[in-house]
Amino acid sequence: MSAIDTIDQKTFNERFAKLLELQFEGFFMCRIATDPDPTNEQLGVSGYTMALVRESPLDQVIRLQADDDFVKKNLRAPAEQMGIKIGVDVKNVQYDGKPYEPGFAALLDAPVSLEGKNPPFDGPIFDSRNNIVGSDDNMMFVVNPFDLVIRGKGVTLRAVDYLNPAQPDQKIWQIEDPNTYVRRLPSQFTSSSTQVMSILRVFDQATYFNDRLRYLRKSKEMLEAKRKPGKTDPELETEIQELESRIYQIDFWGSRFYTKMAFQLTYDFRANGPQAVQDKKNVLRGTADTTHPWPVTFWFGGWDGDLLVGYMQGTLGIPFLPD
Amino acid sequence: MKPITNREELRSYLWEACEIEQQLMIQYLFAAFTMKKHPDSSCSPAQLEAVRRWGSQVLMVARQEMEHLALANGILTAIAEDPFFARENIPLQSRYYLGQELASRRSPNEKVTPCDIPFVFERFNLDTIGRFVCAESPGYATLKKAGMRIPEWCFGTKNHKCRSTTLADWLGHAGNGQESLRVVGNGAPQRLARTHLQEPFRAATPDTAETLSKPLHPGSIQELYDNINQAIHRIPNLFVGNPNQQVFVPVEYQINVVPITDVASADLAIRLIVEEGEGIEAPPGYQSHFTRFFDVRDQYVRLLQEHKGFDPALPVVTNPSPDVISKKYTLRVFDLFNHAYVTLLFLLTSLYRNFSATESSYPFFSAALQNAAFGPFMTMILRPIAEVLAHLKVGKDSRETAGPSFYLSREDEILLWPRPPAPQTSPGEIEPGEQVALAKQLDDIEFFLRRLDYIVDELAALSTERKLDNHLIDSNHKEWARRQLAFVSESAQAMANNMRRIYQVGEIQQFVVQP
Repeated sequence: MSAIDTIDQKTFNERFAKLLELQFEGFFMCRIATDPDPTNEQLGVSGYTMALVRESPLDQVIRLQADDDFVKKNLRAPAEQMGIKIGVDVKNVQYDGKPYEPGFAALLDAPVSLEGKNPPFDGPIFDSRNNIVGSDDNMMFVVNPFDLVIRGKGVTLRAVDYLNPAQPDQKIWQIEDPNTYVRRLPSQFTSSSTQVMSILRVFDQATYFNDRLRYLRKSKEMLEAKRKPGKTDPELETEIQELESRIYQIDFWGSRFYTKMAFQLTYDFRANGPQAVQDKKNVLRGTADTTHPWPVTFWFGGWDGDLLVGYMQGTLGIPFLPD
Repeated sequence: MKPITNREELRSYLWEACEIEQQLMIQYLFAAFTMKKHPDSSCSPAQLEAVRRWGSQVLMVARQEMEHLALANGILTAIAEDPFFARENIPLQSRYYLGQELASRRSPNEKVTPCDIPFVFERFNLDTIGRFVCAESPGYATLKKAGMRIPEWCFGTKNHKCRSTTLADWLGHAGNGQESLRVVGNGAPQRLARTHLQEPFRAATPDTAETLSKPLHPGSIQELYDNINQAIHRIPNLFVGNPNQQVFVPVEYQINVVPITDVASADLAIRLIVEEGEGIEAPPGYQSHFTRFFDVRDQYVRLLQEHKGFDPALPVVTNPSPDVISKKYTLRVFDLFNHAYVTLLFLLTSLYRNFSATESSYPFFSAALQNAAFGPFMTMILRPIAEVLAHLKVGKDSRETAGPSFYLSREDEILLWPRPPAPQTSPGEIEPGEQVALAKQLDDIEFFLRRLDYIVDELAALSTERKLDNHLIDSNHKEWARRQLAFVSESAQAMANNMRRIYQVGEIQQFVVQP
């Protein structure tokens, strides 16, 4: 029996009124298919997003972290030159609004991940099924499943939320009433977010993508200059055609790229699932309440539909009692 | 083409337009569904990138044909007529694409003859994209006058004759049954498309006083729309339909379905259709369907010159039908596609008949239909089934695969047909009262839920087929196909849930952004 189990409810509520807050941010990847492609499309034909032929298939998975091999294969140029590094990490730890040194030591720069699976997808996705279980038009997507994991030095925190706590295994397409999961839809949608644009330092999306087009065209020209008369280099030709497809998509869809860059989807709910803290050596120097919901708020924005990269910022609140 | 003089004639011309737009759309969709999505020995990774871009173009044009179909139905609704989603099955020879008919009108002083453009379901290949270019091409004189590139394969000259006037020749074999029938010429049965245009005339024999009718020469698509547009401006008091019954889709995905309530909005709709298709009166550089297809064909020719064995499409049979599909599993998927496609046509027909922009209390019938009809039905149900079908063998040892036939049975067409007063061209010889009773089925939400239930169950069963790899042209696609069918089943289940729920309580407000 833990110490928590022995205290009465009044004391319990008082002791755990204050939050340990983990603030995180960074770039994420999502190889998402977009309407009017089906949401399980792997190549990308009629939507504005696509998997280039040498890349991994579109799999819809929201990747807050990505291993080097995956990044090498799928993070398109000029992401690296732009300073984009995939990884959403903890950037600040506070207790009741003030810096919390033990948390800082254990969790600063700790990677934040969204885990779990949503078959047939191999990880969490923005679930919509083209306006069936969410709305593409209004960016009303559930992040499904929600299993947020933060792995620090000697401590792992896990916040899980069920779409339907009464039936945790129920799939979103089986839920008849969206009221069941409305709390998991964005609480706010900003179509032209200055916060997002400030972070990305992009204030004119049209110019941003015109620059991209110039870069892609120049890159293509440079590759074409490498062609040798009478000799075909399949790898070179593929690379040229991949660039051509990227140019085509931005040309073809235009405003769809520009507008989404400034989008900001804010989520705000109390994670209702079984929360977990693994802290054998008590590096956090305190006790976390895992019996009550943990408030979590985060936003996704700055979506670059060419690079398939966006920005995320959020805060996980953990009811906490320092030693 | 004879000028339209009254609303009944206008209705017939709009039916012609609806039928053509749908027939074009499904041919484009068919070709797109056959395009490869993985590199192979006849399509390198570099070539696949080009194929993807072509697929994007063909599907975009197909979407705009859906828009044209919607706009033509919007005009019908605006003049208080029933929508028209009925259609003759393909293959056939449209009267609008019959070279001999067009020659005397389209280019009387030219030394060229427009070639026949048959309507066939053909996998994406050079002939197919060439046919699409011709289908969207302005007339020869217009091309010349505007200084546009001329698709020479669409026109015959003394030295360069049109390829053929027979469907069988277009199909590349001697053909059998209806496919082999000549579409022009004497003495042979014709598989010529029907027309809703009838010209009254007196019978030649003096002892017959009754008024008979014969089909009108339809002219070109451009003339068809010009004629409709002139009628809209000329005939008074046409727009008596309920403005709240105008189905409206916000501009998205290059689709622009505007409400049509008067002469100005109808004029705008027609100009949009003509400009998007043939690019007539469009600004320089405008990407009409004609120029888009022309560009794709140019790129295709270039790739073929570089690699003779290049093949961008799966080995899908031409004009798939139960006669050529001997595999039972494939036939089940084939039938299911048709069931689903017809369900969408029923949804659209009922939506246009029952749409209400001011629906505010139970039952929310039109909201329930609209939620399913626009968007998810095509992308989440029809396309994925068709793409699986294009990977399924037609016979046990066959190297050819199946594709969708978009087949409408006579019973389907009766349900889709505009409600009485029955026109002369009603497809079935049924009692007027019987047709009214049948048509009422489309006013009942349970009719649609039953059809969706069938789709859910059938897909679930198909996805659990043990020997799925035996049916596929490439057994490596087994898991993909299984997951695809299961995923569609789930989506159809959720769609049915939404339909029932919206019918009861209205729009899913949870998906609407609060300002």
